[in-house]
Amino acid sequence: MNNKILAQALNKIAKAYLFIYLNFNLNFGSVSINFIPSWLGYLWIHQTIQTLKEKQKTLTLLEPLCFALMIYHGIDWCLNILGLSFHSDIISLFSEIISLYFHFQFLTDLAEITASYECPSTQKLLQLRTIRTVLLTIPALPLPWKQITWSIILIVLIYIIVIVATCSTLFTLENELKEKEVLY
Amino acid sequence: MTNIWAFLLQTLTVTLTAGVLLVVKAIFQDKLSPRWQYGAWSVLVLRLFIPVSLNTYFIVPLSLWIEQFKAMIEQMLSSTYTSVYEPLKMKHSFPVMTQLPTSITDFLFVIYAIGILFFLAKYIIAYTQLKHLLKQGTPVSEKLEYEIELLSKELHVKPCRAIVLNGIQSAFITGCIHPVLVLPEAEFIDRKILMHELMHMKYHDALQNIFWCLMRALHWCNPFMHLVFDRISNDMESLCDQRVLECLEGEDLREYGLILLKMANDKYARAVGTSSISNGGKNIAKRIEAIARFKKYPKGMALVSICILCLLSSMLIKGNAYEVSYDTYSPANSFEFEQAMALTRLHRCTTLAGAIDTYAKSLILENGLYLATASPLSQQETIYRQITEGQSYSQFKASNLLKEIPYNSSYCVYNLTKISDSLYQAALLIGKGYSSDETDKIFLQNISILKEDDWIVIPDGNPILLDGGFYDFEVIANEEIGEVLKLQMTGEYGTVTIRTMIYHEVTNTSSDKGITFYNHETRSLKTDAKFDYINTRSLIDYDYSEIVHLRAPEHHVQIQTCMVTSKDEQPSYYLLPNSDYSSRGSGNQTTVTASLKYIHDHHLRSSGGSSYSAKMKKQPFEDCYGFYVRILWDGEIVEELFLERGAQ
Repeated sequence: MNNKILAQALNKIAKAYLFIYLNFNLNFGSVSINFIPSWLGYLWIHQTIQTLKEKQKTLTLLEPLCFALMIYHGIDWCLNILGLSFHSDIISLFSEIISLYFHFQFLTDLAEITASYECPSTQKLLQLRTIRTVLLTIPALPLPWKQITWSIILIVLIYIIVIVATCSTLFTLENELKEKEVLY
Repeated sequence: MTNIWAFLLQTLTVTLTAGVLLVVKAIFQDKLSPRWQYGAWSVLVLRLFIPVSLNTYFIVPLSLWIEQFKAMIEQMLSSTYTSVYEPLKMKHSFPVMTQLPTSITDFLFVIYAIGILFFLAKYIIAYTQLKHLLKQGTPVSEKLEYEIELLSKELHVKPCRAIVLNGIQSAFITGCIHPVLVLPEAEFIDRKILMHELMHMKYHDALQNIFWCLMRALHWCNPFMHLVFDRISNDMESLCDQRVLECLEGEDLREYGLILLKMANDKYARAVGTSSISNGGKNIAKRIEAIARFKKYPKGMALVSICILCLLSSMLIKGNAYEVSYDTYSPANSFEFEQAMALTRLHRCTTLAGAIDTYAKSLILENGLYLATASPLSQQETIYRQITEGQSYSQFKASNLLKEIPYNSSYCVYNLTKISDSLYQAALLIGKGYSSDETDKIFLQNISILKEDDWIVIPDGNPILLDGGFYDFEVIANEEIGEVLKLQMTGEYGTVTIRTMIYHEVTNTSSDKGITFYNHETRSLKTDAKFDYINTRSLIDYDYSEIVHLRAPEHHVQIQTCMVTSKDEQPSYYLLPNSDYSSRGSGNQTTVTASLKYIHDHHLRSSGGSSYSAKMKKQPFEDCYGFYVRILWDGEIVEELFLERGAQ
């Protein structure tokens, strides 16, 4: 796999994460549509997995999880457009757990790929992956959150920074790969 | 657990937890190693030991359904283990019987307890038989013993006794305190088999096996849990395989798989306190699949494995709180009504303010479900019968005086007094805050608020009706309510009387457009309410009618007061322009100004108040030492009095 293909894949992944993390809603009367839906982000990631799994075999394990997340967010998006809502404790739990694992392994595998190309930002990607995972787990701990609401605010703020940094790092990795292609 | 319903709730909750874990494990079967697959059962261990919370649920409201069905069925029986109108008590996960059974459900519980004893006896007998059988074993050869010793050192395990036993087909370890390695009679015992058994010993798998057997006994009548415990046993074996494989290299890995394959048809020891390399043909097939995946698990997944377990534990153990709204429960529908009454037993008032708020709303809205929530559990049956007979939630015996109060009234709590940590007294007033009509009435009921397991309200004495609104201090200041503080002193220029009261408020603001209280407050249930504000009302009376030579109403009379918190504190008076009265307090008290008014000739009265956040550590007037009062005639200070609290 050459640097160019990998750089293109990283570009797609970075955009996919923007779609996953951000919402841009426009209201049309009683209908609200998110124009950067998460399911599209997962679709792009699914496509890049097809490309990258030759290089990193463990990505194959993530295909069904990515597909499941895409379907889950797709259904959620459609229901929102229709003004409907559906909540199920068990589905929420599964989607949280699958999402937590998916993004952790996906970013780990990406880091292994970029590490093989000696990209300097690889370590940063791993650190952001770890911080993201821990931040998403902390609220589940049995702590008196009502008494320490400031900590929730702090976690949210740090999470926003991590999201922005992750997308930025992915674009940076893309540039690093492009530079290596130019050099070689 | 003291009755069959508690066991039913516990075993169904454990079943639900196990079911979710099985699905999650299936999702991550090829992604997370056998180490995580077995470790995930730690969530089940938590669930097995932590008593089920009656106030929360996950996926399905099991505690509510069980409580509901318990009441519906036990109403027709006369159980000594179960009280119809008392909620299930889930203090621990083990059965306890203190009386002889009388009803069918009692006998079912006894059968359950006997079943546990039966299973435990079965395990003890099997273990005893195994121990007896082991006596027929012969010590292993010196060469094999040396090999075992070397392997033990390599694996950092304390060497154990090893014997050869005729008639067994696969090796196993038995015993926790003095483990014994039991080997079949064979010319050659593969080193990898020894390694597997020593790994069992190293990680105390025999002890874990005993634990799981005890749990199996506790849930003996739940067939699903038997399957789960079988699965746990298989996962333990897979984890042991994983540990062995981590010590092997190259061709040894394949040979280990072949060893297991050969054991597919072997019989295996299945007694408590034992762990065997062979665990049945079907299970061995799954273990070989796991071995094939050994090097294919993604690396570096330790952190996310732990995070997943944290998320699972949080949801499966903590659950979600019930969202209680009694509006959807129709008393005419007996099923819904039984569920609503079950909810009143489970969803109790957890705060002092919550109990008062719920009780007050029950009287204002004439809602028997609210009353059942805030009343002692001993009242449940009475309220239940009243509602059932009347087919309406309002058909409980509240006072007839409430009919004088409009439906959209509000309430106020005066003079909340702490008697002890678990007992408070107060005066509950229901009506309007300020009177707008001569016919406005206030319903006054003295109450005691007790803390048993949760907070409950008990009315003290008979209620009375007063005229006006509950913020009209002059109206409500009477003997029925009492004062927090009453000080009086007579000087040369007349008598000054200071009376103060405190009232607590729960902010019931709501944007609901439905029927609300007076001032658009919400009527929804708030069993965990907290007081938002503590307010004071002060009444200062200056009566100089007895001072004959001063009977001159044309004098301009003014009063200044200042509360002090100690003997040495000097008063700090001030008088605002165009003000007839002013008062200054200490701490967070805001200053109050008010005009004096003539009650009658030579008797002036001023009333005012302050508002404090309920989060204040000190109660208003708690540290009041006394009041300085300065009397001014025509702008001149004619007298200064000190009304000391302790001297009154």
